Amino acid sequence: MSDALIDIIKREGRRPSERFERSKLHASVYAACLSVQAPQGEAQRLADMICDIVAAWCATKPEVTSADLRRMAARHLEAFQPEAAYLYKHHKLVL
Amino acid sequence: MVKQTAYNYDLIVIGSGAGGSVAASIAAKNGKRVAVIEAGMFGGESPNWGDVPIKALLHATQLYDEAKHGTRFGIRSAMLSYNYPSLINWKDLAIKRTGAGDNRKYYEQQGIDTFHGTAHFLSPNEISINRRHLSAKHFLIATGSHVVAPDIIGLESVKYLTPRSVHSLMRPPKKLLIIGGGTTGVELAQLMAIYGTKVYLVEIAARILPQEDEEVGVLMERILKERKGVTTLTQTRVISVVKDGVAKRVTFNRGDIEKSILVDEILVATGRRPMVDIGLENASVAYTAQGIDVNEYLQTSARHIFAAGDVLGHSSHTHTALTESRVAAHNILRKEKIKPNYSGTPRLTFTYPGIASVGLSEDDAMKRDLAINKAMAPLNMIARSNTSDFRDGFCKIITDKKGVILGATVVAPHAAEIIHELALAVRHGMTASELATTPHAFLSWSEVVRIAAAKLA
Amino acid sequence: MNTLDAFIIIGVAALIHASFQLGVSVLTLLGSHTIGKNRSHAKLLRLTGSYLIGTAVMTMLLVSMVSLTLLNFFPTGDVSPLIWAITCGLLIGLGVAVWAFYYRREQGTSLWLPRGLASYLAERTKATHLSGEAFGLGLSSVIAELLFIVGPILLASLALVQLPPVWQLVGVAGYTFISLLSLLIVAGLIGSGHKLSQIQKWREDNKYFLQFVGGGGLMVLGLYVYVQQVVAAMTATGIQ
Repeated sequence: MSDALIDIIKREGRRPSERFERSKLHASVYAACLSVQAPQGEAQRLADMICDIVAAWCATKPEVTSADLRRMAARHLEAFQPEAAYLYKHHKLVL
Repeated sequence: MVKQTAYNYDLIVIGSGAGGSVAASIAAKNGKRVAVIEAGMFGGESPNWGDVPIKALLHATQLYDEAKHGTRFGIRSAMLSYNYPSLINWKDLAIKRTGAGDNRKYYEQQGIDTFHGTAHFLSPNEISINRRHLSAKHFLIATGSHVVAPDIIGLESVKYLTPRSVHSLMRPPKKLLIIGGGTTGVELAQLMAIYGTKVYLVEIAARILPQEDEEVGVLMERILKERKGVTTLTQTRVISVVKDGVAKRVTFNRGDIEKSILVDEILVATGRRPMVDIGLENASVAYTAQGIDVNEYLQTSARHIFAAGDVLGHSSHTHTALTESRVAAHNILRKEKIKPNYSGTPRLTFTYPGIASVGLSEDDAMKRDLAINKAMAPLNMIARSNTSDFRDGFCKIITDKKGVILGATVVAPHAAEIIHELALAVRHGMTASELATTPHAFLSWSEVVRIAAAKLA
Repeated sequence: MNTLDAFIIIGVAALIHASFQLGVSVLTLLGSHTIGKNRSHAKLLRLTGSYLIGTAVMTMLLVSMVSLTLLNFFPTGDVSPLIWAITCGLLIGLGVAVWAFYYRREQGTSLWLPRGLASYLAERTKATHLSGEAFGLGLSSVIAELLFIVGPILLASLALVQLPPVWQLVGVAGYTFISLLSLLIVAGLIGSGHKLSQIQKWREDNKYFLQFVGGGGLMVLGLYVYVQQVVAAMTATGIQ
């Protein structure tokens, strides 16, 4: 697991930082893959792969934002599951 | 969000190379609070691993090479040799003497705060560096570029050299394969060949130095082959690389035929990509993989953030980055913005003979459907080629139908010096006739310029 | 106003109501979260069904409430031209507003909602696990869209009060059903196994068209009713 600190920018200006949690990222990528009807096994495999890639990227940066994580995950997911990547990227832009 | 009145600095420069150093100094001299952030070695690519070390080594090795072939001048060179560690020491001395390599103290002496680490934008006015948050009113992104390894099977699993790491070798390899026949690849091919390395130079295009005119690539290929024993493999794609004992087996495809060779080292000199992975989205800075998008004033899509140097993706010359750094500093400090003037910027390849070009190449002119006149003067037409006993080279000038010089290419010893009169001519719209009627010193290499210009006058 | 005219106005108003996308966005998110959590298909159908019912109930309540209020002021159904004019003005104004800022100028289908409210709705949608919660979400999404749907609801109610009591009930039911058409379609697509990404992609690709149609529809309807009720009335009474 990477030591990268994830800096989450809050609108009020408070900035609590938290450690990179692979499980959180894994769950969100897994959910995105399932929501486009990807088989569970494939969703699991993709989530594992994306987490590995993002964790490796995080290791090169002492601090990143949650938006960076999302972008990185979506960018790499696009190569394998473009539809899940689309939903993942636009999740906060639906409403 | 950081309040406007609470910025740590007036200007943060990300990258201490040619693109950032000048701007940082100018801003500091103007009384601004400036910080410079550098992820690698202070001074950037050019003085530490690029121009300065390569040219220092090329100079030394060229001396050795000239002396080795000096028998025709009456020089005895049978016992001539070189000491590789001494050459490397010389290279290190050259770096140290420029003052630009590893020059953190230089900034600190100017009152500029320096930080060593990777910067990452958190918001439009804030970056993170080593988990410390710094804010600034303006930013200048000068992160430069990095070598991109091509997508070759097995390349990642074997240790390959880059133009940066090639100088850290304990001794020159016996056999070296260079992937990439551009400027850097050709310079290093010549350097390593002088060391005595058997060099294979692989290029996917139809000729080496594909960005230059055809005559340049053809001439350099012949010179490298005849004088340095370099095997040039054009129109060749490397397919795979595997370890074969202590050596490396490289498989390539040339003319639909697959072949493989065994080499000691592989050097990747295929091209560079701008370093844009610094959280630019968090700062709303628009960019692509080819570089940061800027307007004519070097402003990014976030108006308080500027960019200069290799990170823009259009040029990899130190002098261009220095110009852009100056322009960016001016535009940050002053209300009236100026644009960088790129006309007359020379492009150089430090081989022997040297290659220098300015303005439009013939290929550029053809792509734009311009009606041009061109003339070429071979080096053997001037007296200097006789006294120096060097005849391989030429000067080529391109003009429009009115005789105004649009571009020029010089292949000759000291081409990097000769090109500057042509750069002046291009920048100020001089005609070939004006150049031809300007006196050029007898026995100077520049006489070839006068002869080429006279053909167009 | 005759019965046919009233039903046409109610139908068109309901269609314009259906073109608004907040409810559809919430439904899409609800589907995405439910499928993403690997819930059963039956659960998905229950949640979306409850959401639809919640939306229908609130829409019906709103239409009924406004109609009842209007009936208090106009027991005979004889609405003054001034009220018609105000309503038409409101419709045209809302039409311009839809054209101006219904969708935010960014990727996706981000709506005009204040970001705090959007985040809140998104969080509530994510936390919806039970049918009752989905029902409540349906109620809330109609309230959240009130700013834009007040126009069609008001106009439909004004048309409703012109009708005999039995037809009024039909009118209310009809308005509710038609206004739910887009939700029913999307719920049907989700329930039948269509990929949410495709649904969302379609919405994003066609958002400006929907925006144009919604805003344009409001303006055209407002103009039509103005001519029919206000100008005609003024002409009839000889007032110029």
